[in-house]
Amino acid sequence: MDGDPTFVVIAAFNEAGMLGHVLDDLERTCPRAHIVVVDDCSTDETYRVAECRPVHLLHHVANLGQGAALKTGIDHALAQGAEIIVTFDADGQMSASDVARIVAPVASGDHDVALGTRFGGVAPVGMTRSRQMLLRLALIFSRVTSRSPFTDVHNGFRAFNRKAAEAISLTQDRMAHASEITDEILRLGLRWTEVPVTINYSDYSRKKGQPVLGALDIVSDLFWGPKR
Amino acid sequence: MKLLVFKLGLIVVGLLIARFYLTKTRSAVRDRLIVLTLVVGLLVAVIDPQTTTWVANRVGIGRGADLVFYLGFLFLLFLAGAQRVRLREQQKAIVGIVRELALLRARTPPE
Repeated sequence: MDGDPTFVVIAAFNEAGMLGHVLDDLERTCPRAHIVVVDDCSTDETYRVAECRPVHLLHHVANLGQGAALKTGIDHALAQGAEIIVTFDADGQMSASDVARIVAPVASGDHDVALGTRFGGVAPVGMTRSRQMLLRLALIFSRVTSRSPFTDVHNGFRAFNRKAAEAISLTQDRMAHASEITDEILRLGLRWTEVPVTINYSDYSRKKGQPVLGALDIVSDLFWGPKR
Repeated sequence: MKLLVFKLGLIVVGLLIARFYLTKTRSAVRDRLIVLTLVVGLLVAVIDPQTTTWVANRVGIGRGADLVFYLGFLFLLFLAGAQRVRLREQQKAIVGIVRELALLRARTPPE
């Protein structure tokens, strides 16, 4: 990960419980990476947890949703001269040790985007059956609606080079941004690849993460626009 | 007698609403015309209820009250839609402001 400035963007909403570990882990594993935390108007100590660490820290004064928070973080990283941008979750599901692996295909210049996938041979730790089935369904949904060739659209672990990060336009502020990103990759003809990553489903992340019924919100956002 | 008081009340309320919209708000000419038309319609319907029935019959509806109900319902739907659009535009503006503010106030780590 030497060379091009790499920025790890983390959108955090009420993640005080886990964010500290996540940041420490990232600092230890990727000491050269710049870390950008976007606090999406958390009501807990999320901001304070990030404040006492050497990270770029941005704060939304209103809760806008994960898509918007990532967009803010990516904009900041670009303004700071990022050449490679990684999106990472704040809830401890992702392994910091995977960052180098997901960055590699982009850093080598072979690809514009690398997408983490839970279905690339590395068995997810502790994924419930209902979630496995839901993700398969989500996959079929994206395949049908956009003839998507991706295996894990709703995986938030991604790496972009500067060109891709600048070109991809996100209009979905909430959770539907995930399939918007893959749609944009296809529309722009970006060179992409998938990288198997380990996702840890802890009790914490299962509680914090998207409820299975959140899928309905995502579909409705995509069809009728975000509800307001 | 009671009926007359109620009618008078409706007329006064209608005029007050018209005055409020025409003097206290800075709405577009189009909006003012809509309010004016509505208030005039209300006054006519209150003063001579037979007019609504007459109009209703012309368009194949039996009772004037039914016509008023249908039109009122359509108007409410229109208002709800217009508000939704306005709200969405406002939301978009807020998103822009919140993000811009976050970027401006970004705290960068010491090198």
